Amino acid sequence: MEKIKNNLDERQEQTLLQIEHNGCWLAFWGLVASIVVQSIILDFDYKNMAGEFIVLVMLALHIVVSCIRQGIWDRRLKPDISSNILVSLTAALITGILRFFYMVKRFPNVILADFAVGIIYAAKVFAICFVVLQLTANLFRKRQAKLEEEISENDED
Amino acid sequence: MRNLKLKFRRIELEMSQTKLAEKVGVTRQTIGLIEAGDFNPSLKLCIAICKALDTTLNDLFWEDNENGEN
Repeated sequence: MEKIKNNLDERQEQTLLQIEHNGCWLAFWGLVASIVVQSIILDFDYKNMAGEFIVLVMLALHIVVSCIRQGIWDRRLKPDISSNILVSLTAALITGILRFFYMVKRFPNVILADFAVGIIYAAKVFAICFVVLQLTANLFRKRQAKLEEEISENDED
Repeated sequence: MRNLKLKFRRIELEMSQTKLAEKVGVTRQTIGLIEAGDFNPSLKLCIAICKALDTTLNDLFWEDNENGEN
């Protein structure tokens, strides 16, 4: 099939990419916000959030897989243990707090138990995030080494 | 940083921004933004501009003083 001609010049292409980039992150964080709000309102009724959840996971997977394939990690963070701990702790803290408030809403008379649930939830999120980040960082390093190797081989030709 | 060399060369050849834009296959706005220093063109576009203005990259895009405009 013949490729349709691109009507944009390189500046317009860069501007359009920037607009699409902003749209992508708007959709990403909009979905996160939508899931968080629905979790609170609908008491974690996963059936009602399935659509948003599937789109969010697909979007996240696309970004992660594409970045690793291209040997890209992050603009500011490095794929090391300290950064992974920091990111996992942030995720754990946010989800732990949200879970705590959700538990307080449901069981307002047992604050200590609600707090314990929040802590357990945060610990679970921390463990999952940290393991996933370490695994993806490992994949990223392997991919980057392979890309470096390919460039070196091409230079020798 | 404004690209006055590009602007002067274009005027020297009595070529409008629209005409230059047509020759190199971009919009007039892009040429305007390059001259105003608000858009950094790719090497490919720089070469196309140089060919359209019958000059070299050195003449149009090389800065020869520390803070001067090119």
